[in-house]
Formats: sequence, C-alpha cells, structure tokens
Amino acid sequence: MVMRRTIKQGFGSRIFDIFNVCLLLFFAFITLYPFYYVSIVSISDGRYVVTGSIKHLPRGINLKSYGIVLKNPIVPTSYKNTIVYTMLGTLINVLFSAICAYPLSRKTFYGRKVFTGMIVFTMFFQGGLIPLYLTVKSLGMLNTIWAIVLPAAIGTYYMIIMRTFFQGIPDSIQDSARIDGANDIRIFFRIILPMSTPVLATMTLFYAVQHWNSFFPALIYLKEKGKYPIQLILRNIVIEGDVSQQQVDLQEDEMIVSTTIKYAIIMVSTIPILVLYPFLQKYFVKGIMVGSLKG
Amino acid sequence: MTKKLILCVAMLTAVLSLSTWAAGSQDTTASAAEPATVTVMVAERGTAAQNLEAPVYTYIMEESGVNIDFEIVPSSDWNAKKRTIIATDDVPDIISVGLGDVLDFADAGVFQPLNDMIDKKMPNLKALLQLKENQNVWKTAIDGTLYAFPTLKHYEFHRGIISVIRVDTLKTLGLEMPKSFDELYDVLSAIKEDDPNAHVWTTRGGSNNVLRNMAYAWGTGHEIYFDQDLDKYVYGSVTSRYKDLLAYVSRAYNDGLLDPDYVSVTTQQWREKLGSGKSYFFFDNPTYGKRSNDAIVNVNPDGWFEPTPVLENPYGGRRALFYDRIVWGGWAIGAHSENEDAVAQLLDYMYSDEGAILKTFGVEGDHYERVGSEYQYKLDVLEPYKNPTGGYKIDAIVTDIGIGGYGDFNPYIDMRLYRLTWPEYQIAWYEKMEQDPAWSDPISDPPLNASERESLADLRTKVQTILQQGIDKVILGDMTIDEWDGVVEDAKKAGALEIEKIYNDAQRRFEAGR
Repeated sequence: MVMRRTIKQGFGSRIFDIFNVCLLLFFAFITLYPFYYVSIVSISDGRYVVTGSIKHLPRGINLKSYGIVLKNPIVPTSYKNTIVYTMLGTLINVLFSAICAYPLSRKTFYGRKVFTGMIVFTMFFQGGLIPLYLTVKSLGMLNTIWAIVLPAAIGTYYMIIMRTFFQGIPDSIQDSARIDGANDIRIFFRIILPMSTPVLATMTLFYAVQHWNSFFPALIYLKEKGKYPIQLILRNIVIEGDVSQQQVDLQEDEMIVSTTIKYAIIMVSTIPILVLYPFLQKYFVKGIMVGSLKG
Repeated sequence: MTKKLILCVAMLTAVLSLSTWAAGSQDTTASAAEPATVTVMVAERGTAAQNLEAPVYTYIMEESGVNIDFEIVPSSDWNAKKRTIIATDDVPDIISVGLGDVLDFADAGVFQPLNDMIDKKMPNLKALLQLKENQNVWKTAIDGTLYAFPTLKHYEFHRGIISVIRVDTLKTLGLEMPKSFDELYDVLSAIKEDDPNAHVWTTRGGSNNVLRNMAYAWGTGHEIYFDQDLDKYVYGSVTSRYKDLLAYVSRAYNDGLLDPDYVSVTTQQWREKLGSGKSYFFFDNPTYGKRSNDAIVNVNPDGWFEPTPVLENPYGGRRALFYDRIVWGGWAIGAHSENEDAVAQLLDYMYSDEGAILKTFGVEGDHYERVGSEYQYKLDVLEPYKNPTGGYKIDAIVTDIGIGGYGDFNPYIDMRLYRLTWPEYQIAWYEKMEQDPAWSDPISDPPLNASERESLADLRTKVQTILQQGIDKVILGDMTIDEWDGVVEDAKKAGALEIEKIYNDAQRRFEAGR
C-alpha cells in the first residue's frame, strides 16, 4: 500500500485556489456559452427566436434548419473545396516553410542574417492587396486553386518557429551524417525532418486551421461560385449583405435569413474543426512550447 | 524509406489531382457562330442563388440574342471585391456599382462613358431617360456624362418612413390614434404608465437613425437635405427646429419612453422587442409593421401594428418623404470590355416593358396570365413556394424561376414582385400614403464636381463629428439643450453653412444645364 503524503495547504493558498477555479470556470463559461447558445437556437423553432425567448434551453426542437442547410447543393460542394484547399495548402505550407527554415537555421549559411531580416521585414510591411492581386493576375492564377494556396505558401511567423526548432538540433548530428557521405538534401529529408515531428505536427495543425477558416483569398481571386470554400458561403449567409437600407427594408422575411438557419450553418461549418480540437490540443500546447523563440 | 518517398509522391499527386478538379476548367469561350457572351459581376445574397438556368434568364438570352455569364460575388463581401476589381482595372463587361464608385473611379477611366451608346444603340433606355420622372438620373452624371446605366422603376409602390404603433393597445387603453407629435407623446406616456417595464418607443441604429427618420416630418432635416417648403438645400442639424426635435427625443429618453438601450440596439434586437410585445412604437420603414405583426401573434393574438397618419409637427405642417424613385448607382461597363454592342443589346432589352414584365412575372402562360391590363401570377406555379405564415418564399422563386427585384441583375424594377410577400393590408397602407398629399418625392443630391466633392469630404467629417458628439450628450442628459447652441455654433464654424452653399450652387448649375 502506497502512503500518500500531501502537503498541507495554508488558508491563503486555498483561497487562491478557490479564486482560481472560479475565475477559470467563469472563463470557461463565457467561452462555451456562445457555442451552446448557437447550438440551441439552431435546433429551436423560428417563432421563439424572433420573439427573443430562447435563453437557456431550446424550444420547439426541430432539425428543419439543418435540413435546409444540408439540402443546399452549394454546401457539400464548398465543403469539398475547403477540404481540398486545406489539404493542398497545408502540404505546400509545411513543405515550403521547412525548406525555407532549414538553411536559415544553419550557422554556416552565408548571409543568413540578411535573408532572415528580409523575410522578417515582410511580417511588418506588405505591398497590400492591389499589388498582390495584380501579381496573381499576371501569373495567370486568377480563378484557380493556386491563387488560394501559393501566395501564402509560407507564413513568416510559423517559418521562424520552425527555424528556431531546427536550430536546436545539434550540429554534430549533421556533421556525422556528412562524414557518412550524406549531402544537404539527404540530411534535410533523412535526418532533420524525421527529428522534427513535433514542430511539423504543430505547424500542420496551425496551417490547417488557418486554411479551414480562410475566406478572403477565395473572395478576391476566385470568380466561380463552384470553387468557393464553405467559409465564404457561411459568411454570406450569416452577414447581411452590403446593400442599401431601402433594399434591406424591402427584402421580406424570407430574404433576410432566419437566425436558426444562420446558426445551423455556423454549426455545420464549425463542428469538423471543433471535433478535431480535443484530439489535437496537445499539439497546440507543444506548439506554444516550440514557439518560444531562442533568438 | 523509398516506400515512404513513393507514398509521399503518391499523396502529392492525389492532392494535385483533386486540386485540378477543384480548380475546374469550364470552357466559357464561345465559338464564332454563337451569340456574344457578356460577363456580369453581381452580388448574391446567401439565400437567393443567381441561377442562369432559370427560365427567365433563358428567355432573356433568347430575346436579347446575348448570352450571359455571371461572376457571382457573395453580397457579404461585395464591396471588398468590387473595390479591388475596380482599383485594379479588371472590371468585367457589366458590374453593379454604387454612385460612390462612379464618383471615385470614373475619372480614372475604368468605366466606359455611356452617353453615345445610349443615344445610338439603346432606344428603350433613351426614351426612359427623357421622361420627367427620371431626370434625377442625370444627377449621377459627371460633367454631363453617364458612367453607369441607372436602375429605374417600371412600377412603383410609393412608401416611406412613418411612425407605426400598436393599435390594439390604443384600443385597450381607450386612446385615440395620435395625429400630431404632441398627441404622440401623450399616447406613449399613457402606454408607459400602463406597462412601466416596457421600452415603449424602440429604435435601431442609434441616435442618427432616430433623428434622420423623424427630422423631415418634424419640419427640418438631418444633416444636408432638400427642403421642399424652402426650395433649397439646408443643413438641417444646425436649425432651431432640429434643436426642438432633439429636446423632444431627449425628454422621451428621460421620461423612459425611448428605449434605454437606443444607442446600441441592432436591427435584430429591435425586431425582437417589437415582436415580443416589449415595445409598442417605432418610427421607421412600415414594412417592419407587417413583420412585427407576423411575430407578435405568437405571444399576443390581438397584437397589431399599423402606421399612424403623417403627424402634424409643432409648426403646423404635415410632411413626409417617399423613398427615392431612383436606386442610386447602377450598371457600369468595364473600360476594357470588347462587348459594348452586346451589352447595349442585352440591357436595352431589359429596359423594355417586355423585359421588365419578364423579370417580374416570368414567362407568360408559364408563370403568369394577363387579365385585362393586370398581370396575375399563376397560383398553381407558386403553390410549392407558399409560406406557412402567408405570402411566398420569394428567394426560392428568384432562384428557380429567375424573376427578381432589388439586389438581382435587374436594371428596371417592377415592385409588383413584392406583392408576392405583401398581404393586402400592407398594400392598403401604401395606397393610403400615395393618396395623402403630405407625402412627396425626395429631391436628390445635385451632381458635384471634383473640387466640390473634395471640399465636402473634409467639411462633412468635421461637422458631423462635432454634431454627433453633442447629440448623444443631449439625449443622455450629459448636456443641457441650451448648451446645444454652442455645438451648433462650432458646427457652423466648421463649415455646416459652407456645405449648404456647395449643394445649392451645384443644384443651380444642374438646373441651368438641363
């Protein structure tokens, strides 16, 4: 039998713990309540919603709104598009970020600081939307998937995190690989990447979430509705359009989307990523750790 | 390791193949034998998909001899996309634009000038622009040149902002329908006395909306407006009548009549208050009276909103403004479009009576029938779109049949479309307004030249900032109504009267030019 010896807590410490627990419960509540509210409204009858009588529990429970959302043919199409953009985009992001980060992590790389400086500069100063649009257009990428995945191929911040991680890998490992006859590419793919799974997993997750939530590049660069991601469709349903007041006023009840449908589509587009979070949260925690910059 | 490498390459290939599928490659190039294809960039609301396969569009393409290709942009982010497209000079054949876009970008040469095209290739539009009721369109011209085809009305239901009240409550409390602003105050006070927890008078959009909606009826105007009694533009917010209006609103707030949350109430919250019986009165679009009637029946079967008559203001006048006949903005052609003839052909067909009827009622025999001079929707066609609460699901009809009103690809709007959702009592409200001489059409802003626009941008910001801060302080009681005079003086010093002068000079120039 194992004897447990606990350190006796003082009164102040207990008060502190109680305060901490209450504070964290409060934060948990204000974080979870919006999700809860959206979910109960999405399954409630619209007439209770228009009179503002849904507060804590759903009323007139039904799944009509989900039926309407899922029957809309653009929803499955845009879902597929989002999955494709997320997969391809994340693959490109992780690959290119790693390829960029590795040389910058090597002390022997000539001009390392200059290149790093030039790259970091883009974190703070950018050309803006119009030059970017003109570049994408002149490269013939408008209305293609490449306009979504290539302009943001490398997230500077994430690349810097990767570089920092690579810097932590001892030079001696690479030296011994080199003695065994490995060249730079071989060292990178066979030694460095296999040793960097925590940062690769974290970056994959960060990039994937970013792609999943992204709508702006699709809005600006795509011209066909059939190529839109789910987030763009979601925004269009949830946010009332940029239309004149008179136009809004003229649009009858059916034209202003009912709140239940809005909330149903929020749930539909958020649930996949929400379901992933509990399983992947340990990588997020790791991500914060690997993100601690070491210069 | 080789296996892993092969696996990686296989995955990459698979993803790339998927991407090719997603990118798609619809060949939209028309062969030489086919009619020209015109690309139209339009906003699409979340629930009303633009559907080129709908019978109305098929008919429009057949009749006009021009194919249409839609570039759909979600209306939620329409402005961001439109501005990028315009700023990069990548405008398609036809784009829906606002007046601001024309003013900001026409000088840069991104849109084609249209006067010649209208004159030579668009007889229907040319005839419409010669009508007296459409002369305001020329106010959108820059130095006499139109850069956007206007959105005109083929058939109009005149209506405008008015006070709307719970008539069932008036009856219960034995109160008369108010006929003046003074009587209104007494009625709202009596309701408050009966239901002390009510937010009797609710509003949306903060103080600006309250004052903008009430000012004309009160005998003044909010910011710059054309006063038809004085026959000139006036900066209403610096007048003594506006001060009286502000005092009225402030008193209503302090007496607990005006919604205590008026500063931050959103449209949705406002509708909830009206639909739940929490509020009894609003001064806004009467359409919301009908919507509130639909909602309140769930909590009070007797609940009923109805517009009041136009209220007599404290200076003995009765006046109200209809919504503008012109929808500001319209349809511009990209400077690099090579399809001007096809655009002219397509739009001129849509400006014809036939085009307007088609876009409103659908195809004769299939979707509507003519009975004398009346057009009647075929009820069996509309049956699947019936709403349980009355009226029809107009969005689904827009998508399936292709008819449309505001917000659709439609330069010539026939408001009889909205009869699909308006009950008879609502149409009766509008007919009553039309018969009341207190109502009149608004006079639009005059066309301004580049230097006037530049001066105004600066002056407006300064003046509005000064006034806005003062308005809320007075209503909330942080400033007395007498201190408002100081705010007015500051606004005048910042250029309120200069704005008036710029508008009146521009209007005189416009009238002389016509």
